[in-house]
Amino acid sequence: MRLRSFLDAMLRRSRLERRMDAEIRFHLESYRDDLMRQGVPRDEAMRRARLEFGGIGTSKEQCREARGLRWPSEVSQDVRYGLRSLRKSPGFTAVALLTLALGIGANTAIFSVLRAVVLRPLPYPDPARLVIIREQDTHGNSFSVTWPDFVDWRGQSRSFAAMAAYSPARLLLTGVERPALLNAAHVSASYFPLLGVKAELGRTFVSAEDSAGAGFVTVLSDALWRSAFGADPGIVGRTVVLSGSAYAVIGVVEPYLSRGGPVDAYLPVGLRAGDPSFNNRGAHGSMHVLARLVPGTSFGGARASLDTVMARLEKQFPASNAGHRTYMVPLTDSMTGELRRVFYVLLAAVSLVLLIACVNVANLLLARAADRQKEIAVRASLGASRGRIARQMMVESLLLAMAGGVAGVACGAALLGPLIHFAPQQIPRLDTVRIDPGVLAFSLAISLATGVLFGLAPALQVMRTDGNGALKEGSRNSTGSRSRSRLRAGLIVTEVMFATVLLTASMLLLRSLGAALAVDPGFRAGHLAALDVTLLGAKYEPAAAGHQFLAEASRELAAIPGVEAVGAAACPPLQKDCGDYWYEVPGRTHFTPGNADDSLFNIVGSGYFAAIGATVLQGREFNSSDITGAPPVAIINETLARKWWPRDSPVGWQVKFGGPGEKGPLYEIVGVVRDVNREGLDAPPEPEIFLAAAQARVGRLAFLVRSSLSPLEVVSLARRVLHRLDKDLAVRSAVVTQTMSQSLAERKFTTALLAAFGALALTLAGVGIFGVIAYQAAQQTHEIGIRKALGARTSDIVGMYSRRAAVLVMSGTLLGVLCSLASSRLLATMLFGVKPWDWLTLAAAVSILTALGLAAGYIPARRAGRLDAMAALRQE
Amino acid sequence: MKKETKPVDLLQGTLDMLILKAVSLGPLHGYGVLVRIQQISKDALRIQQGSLYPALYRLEHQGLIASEWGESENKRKAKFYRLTDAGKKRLRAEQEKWGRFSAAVAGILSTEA
Repeated sequence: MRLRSFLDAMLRRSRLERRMDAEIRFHLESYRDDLMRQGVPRDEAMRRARLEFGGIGTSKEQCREARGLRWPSEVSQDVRYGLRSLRKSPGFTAVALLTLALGIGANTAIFSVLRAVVLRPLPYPDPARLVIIREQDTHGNSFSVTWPDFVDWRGQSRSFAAMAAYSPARLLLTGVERPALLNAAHVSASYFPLLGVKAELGRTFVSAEDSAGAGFVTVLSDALWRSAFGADPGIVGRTVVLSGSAYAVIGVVEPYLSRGGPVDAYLPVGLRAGDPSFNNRGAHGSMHVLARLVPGTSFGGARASLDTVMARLEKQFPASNAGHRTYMVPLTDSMTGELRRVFYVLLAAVSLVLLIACVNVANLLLARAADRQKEIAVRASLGASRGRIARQMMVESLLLAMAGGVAGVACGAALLGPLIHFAPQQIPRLDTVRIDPGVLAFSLAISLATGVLFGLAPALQVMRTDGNGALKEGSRNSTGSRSRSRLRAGLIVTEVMFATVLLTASMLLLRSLGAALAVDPGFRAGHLAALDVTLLGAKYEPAAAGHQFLAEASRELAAIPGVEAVGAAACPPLQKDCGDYWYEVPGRTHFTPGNADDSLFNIVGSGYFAAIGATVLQGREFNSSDITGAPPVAIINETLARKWWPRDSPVGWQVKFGGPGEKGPLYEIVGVVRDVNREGLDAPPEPEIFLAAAQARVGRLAFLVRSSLSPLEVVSLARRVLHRLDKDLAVRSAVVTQTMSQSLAERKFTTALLAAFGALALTLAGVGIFGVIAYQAAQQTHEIGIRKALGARTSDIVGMYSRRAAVLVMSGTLLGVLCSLASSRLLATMLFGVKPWDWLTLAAAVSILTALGLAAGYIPARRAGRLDAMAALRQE
Repeated sequence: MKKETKPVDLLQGTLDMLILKAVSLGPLHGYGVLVRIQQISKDALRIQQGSLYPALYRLEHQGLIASEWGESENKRKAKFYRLTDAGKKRLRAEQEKWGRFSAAVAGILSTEA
């Protein structure tokens, strides 16, 4: 089919050409005959006829143009010509294709991840109208919502089509082959319909189950149904034991993307609604609110309507709600906000790499255009218009770009595997990354854009070149070549500028990673294994049962041969999402409405700090006498101590658990410890208050075991010990040094990518500078010969070209530094321990590029300097 | 001695109008158009022969003239151009425009300083 239409076009075209020839021949012969009638000899008459007609080729070309028939036939001509000319210079084509494939490939890979992870709408119905709502104080600190506030919001605001409560919990599944610790959640009946999640078996919750009196029922996730119950089709109606209580399974929900990681089982929120603490307006637990805006309601309008409700509640319940307003964020932002920034920075970086690649290809094309000047001049004198030649150049560039695009997509597909493999696995939707039609469209678009971009320079050069001049003088010293040199120099400056920006960014990130790795975590992580258990169910209902388990487990773990120390904490180092709550220091903290101080709260056993190797700065740590009945005691970390006791010692002061309006138990501060890293190595320290485990209710406990054994060995021995104490215990284990390195997974990933892009940019810039200087020297062989003949020394010539390279590199780096400074805000949030305008990094980036640029310029400069005068003059 | 007037170059854009006028008197081949314009102008106008054909092709493409192959006066195959209805309309419009234009220019130029 395509061949047929192609043949048609060719045949029709040749018929048109034949007729045009016949018409012009008729003209010339008629004129000749007329001249012969006037007595001019035949040969002379024909000569005059041709002469007066003028350029036959040009005339024919203009005729074709006038008929508007140029496109289909001529473009295919251009394409064939272009392919031929690319094939004729395989070296140039290979270098250009490789450059483009790397640039387009990197862009394709990064874009496909960005698209799947960030850009694609969340997999919920109408996701743009979903929001997360929290409460917030006057300082802008946001915290979880209380159940009574949620009930009032839902009842009094008209801006929301639906509102759902979600409160995470941990449950122990027993009565199955392997007891398992489940990630569970109490949810309101509206939760699943809000996200468009359906029950694949049975049902989800009904609104009656939102209030006190809800039955002991549970909805399982598809994953748990398969893993723990072998996908039993008769699961609905079966009874499962969760944390010691029996629940009837009422349904299984289909798999879906849940915020904050997968959930195994759901309980109706009504099971907690009767709980007095749950009904306390001042006791903020861990409840999230998810809501869907009514169509046509603006984000701001919805928030304002909730704030009206909150203002009313503030008047009504000043003790718990003073100064509280709402905090609202689109669900999409809350799930992908941080990743969006990271991926936009990465995309910006790969775009710079692509621009640098473009500049290099443009430079190659310009050099080639110079070599082809005679070919172009010949074509021009044979009747090709400049526009036609420029178009021919453009077609060639686009051909190159499309081939580069195909190679780039292949390259991107090849890069995608390792990219996903090394990406931090907590990134949601990573498993959906594909090179799909959308990604292909993106790659096609950037290929075309790069083709136009790098093809523009040589095409414009052609438009400006004087064809006759080129034919007469050869290319040397013509104005075209001089302006081409200027253009190429400008391109190199741009390229060096981009490379400086990229190099600065990647070095800033490298320094941040270095700083994060060098952070003192506040404890000795080596040879430390963590075994995480949760004490749940009726068995542990009396607090003393938990204390007894803690004491026995600590003793028996310490008795394992090879174990040096054992410590226990509710929230071990580097464990994220520990509970925080309000606190007050009577006599020190000053309460202002809507501005309560909050701190992390942790529960640790006696001897914990010694076991993990954290330093006690003042006072003492918990010991075996800090038990129920003894005076309640607390230890605070140095960040908290510095905040309220910058000059004196907190030891002996009291701290209250709970904010203003809460009676909260009081604890006497007995010690201050060094900050122990909490949210990850690159997170800033936060205030933390430690309570004694033997004076608190223990639920979740992590045993930190230091030993000379291998991590695997100690974990399996410790597991056995813990299961001997309680066979239903679900134990999760981790090696602390690994947790520590995982806390930097995302930083390492981003840094590695940016460093790779920086290195690529550096290489391309080096190649570019080398190319330009080498080309200039080659163009000026004659001039060098004259200079040498007139007595210039080798060092003079080397100096001349090196100076040129230096000027290009210096201008480029200077502009690059300015651009880096201007765009520093983009990177600021990704940095750690280094300022975006860190002069040392900027100086290092400039030095590296300058050194590289000078080296890349020196090689061709030296070659030019060593030219033999006579040989140089004789050339051409 | 007879004073010889030198032929003048065509004003930009007037070639199309002259071609339309030439073929309005009857179908002509390309060379015939050239000859007729020169006859009518008594060799006062100089036409770049090479630019004649692009102009013919352009006018044909615009639908102002149509062409068909026929036999010339010396029994050879030639392409004849004739004016279309659209061409007639255009020619009238151009003539009127030219009349006003040349009258205006002549008026200015004949004013005694």
